Parts: sequence; C-alpha cells; structure tokens
Amino acid sequence: MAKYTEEELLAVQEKAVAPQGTIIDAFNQMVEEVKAFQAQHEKAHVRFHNGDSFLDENGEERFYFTHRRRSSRHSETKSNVRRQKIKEQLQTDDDGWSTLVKPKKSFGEEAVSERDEFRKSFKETQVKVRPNNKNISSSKPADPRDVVDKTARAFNAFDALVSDSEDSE
Amino acid sequence: MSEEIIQKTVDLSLEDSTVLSNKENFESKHPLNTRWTLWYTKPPVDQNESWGDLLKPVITFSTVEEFWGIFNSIPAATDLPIKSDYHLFREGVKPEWEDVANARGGKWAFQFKDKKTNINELWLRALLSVIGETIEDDQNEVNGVVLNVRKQFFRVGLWTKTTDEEKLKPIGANLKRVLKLPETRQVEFLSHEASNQRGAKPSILI
Repeated sequence: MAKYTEEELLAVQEKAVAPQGTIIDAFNQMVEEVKAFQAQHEKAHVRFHNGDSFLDENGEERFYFTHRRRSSRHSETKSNVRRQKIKEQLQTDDDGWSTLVKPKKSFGEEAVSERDEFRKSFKETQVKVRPNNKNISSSKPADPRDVVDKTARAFNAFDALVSDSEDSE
Repeated sequence: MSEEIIQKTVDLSLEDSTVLSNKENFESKHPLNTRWTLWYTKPPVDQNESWGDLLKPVITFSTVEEFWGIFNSIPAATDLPIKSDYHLFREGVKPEWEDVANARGGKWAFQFKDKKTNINELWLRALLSVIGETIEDDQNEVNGVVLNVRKQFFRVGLWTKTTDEEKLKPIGANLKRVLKLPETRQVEFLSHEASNQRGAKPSILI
C-alpha cells in the first residue's frame, strides 16, 4: 500500500496540477450562489425567531419559532377595500382660481337647494327659548303658566277673636 | 517533423499547455493508493430539492499533485455556506449509509463547537491522513472523511467499513492525533445502524 506522511504530501504541494477549469469554476460558482441566497434568506426570515436555538438529535441547529397563533398577531388593521375613495373635484371660480372640492355624498343639486330652503324657513319660525337657570333648583316653577292660583285665605287672629255672639249683641 | 506534430497537437488542445509542450509534466507524479472522489452536499435553497439533488460528486483524482490542484481551487472549509458538507470517499463508494461499503460500518466523529478553531488546518490534516493512508495501519477499513459545516459547529467524521472495536480503536486514536485533540477531549464512534435510532449513544469513546 502506497503511504505518504503529512510532510511528504506537503512537500509536493508546489507541484499541484490544476484541474479542468470548467468543473471547478462551475462548482465555485454554485457555492457562491448558495452563499448569496443564504445571506438574502437570513435577512428576510430573521424576524420569525429571536435567535434562540437548540441542537436536535442529529446535531442540526433549530430555532424556537415565536409565531404561535395568537389573536393578537392577527390584529393588523386592514384597509377597507369596499369603501370607495371620494375623489376630489376640481372647481374653477370666476377669477380663475381652481380648488379641489369633495363632492357631497348623496345630495343632488335639487336636494341641496330644497334643504337650504328648509333650513332658512325653519330659522325664521323657530322660537328661542332660554332656560331660566336661576329657578331650576328652586321650588318655584320655571314657567309662569305652571303657577296655580293658590290664593289661600290667610288666617287672621283678630278676626278669629270676634265671636258671632258679640256681633249679635 | 516531430516539432510540427507537437505544434499541431498544441493547436488542437483546449488547454493552454499539454504534456507534450510542458516538460515538467513528464516528471512522474505521486500516485495514490486508490482514486478518490470529492463530493459536496449543497445546502437546500428550494423545498423541492431532495437529498439526491443536493449530494453531488465534484471531481475524482488519483495523484497527490491532482489533489493539491483541487484543494487549492475549491473554497476552504470556512468559506463554505452553512449546512454544506465536503465528502472525500474512495472512488465507487457513495457517501451514504445505504452504500454497500458503508452499510455495516459507522463513523468516528468530533464536533468543534468553538468556531474559532482553525478548521481549515484540521480539515487539511484529515484529508492528508486519509489520502496518504496514514490514518490506518493496514486495516483498510476507512472509506472516507466528511466535513459538516453548521452554524454552531464544524464536525469531522471518518467513515469506516466495520464496527469491529479492535480494528477501530487504533483508527480513532489516529484521528484524535490528526485533529490535535487533547487527552481531555474524546472522539466518538457510532455505527450507521445506531445513528438511525433517536438518542443513540456512541459505542466507542477514545
């Protein structure tokens, strides 16, 4: 059996014969691609674990993944896709100034004028009422109409002393 | 006339130099005892990749000079991506438990958990001891040597044909010396059959 010691083998190192370039080049390229993939993959997945790991029975490193199914992990606000965005309309006034105006939701032009008329008429007929704050906590009625005529006959002691008999005398 | 032939041959060749144009190549090379094949396990980059897709033979060589040419051209151990494996096996032996040559064997292994270890040097020493056949005396039991690159450790494994303790102990002792391990550290032998079982413990420790 041909045997070579470490020293003998190291002595031949300078006489190395380069292998066919295409094979080794392809191999090296593959290794580089894997390294690039791993670097990219690690960046993308780093948020799934906090770095804590353990070795399994095969000596492989495994991470304690922290993405358990909790309700709190699904509470991200979602955009309401059904809601239609209100597009602002460009309105140009007589002076040539343009402004973006949000259109009214459901009123048409007729409805708007009708509404304005109603508001105006209501404004004219309405009665202003001011609450009489000073009487709120009092036993006196706030509204004078609520006052019941309580003209009770007052007791007069002198009248009571005058007896009927004396009158007759 | 002969010069004309040489020139024509050089012109036909795809390589820059040939044995005909380079006198140095006439020097006798150092043949190895057997031909060796370098295999590589590529880390998966796609879930659909199977083990068979990942384990690939890279190149086969039969002389010391060729070995150095390959070794100098491929990434060093520390330059390999995580989850990579280098396997150097005798030609015809696949670095799998199922291979006939491995099925009844096992492996001596040691894990270097300190990643500051000079694994490039230790891996080279392991390779030299295997191709130079100094890892064993005359047992002829070694099939190949494996390097596992993991995030938290490097592991060197020496695959053997047998689980015979008497034959294995001197090989384990040699591996320990090659890996420059102190007396306090132990290399472990585990048969491939036992490796299939969960929680299997090494059958020999040195």
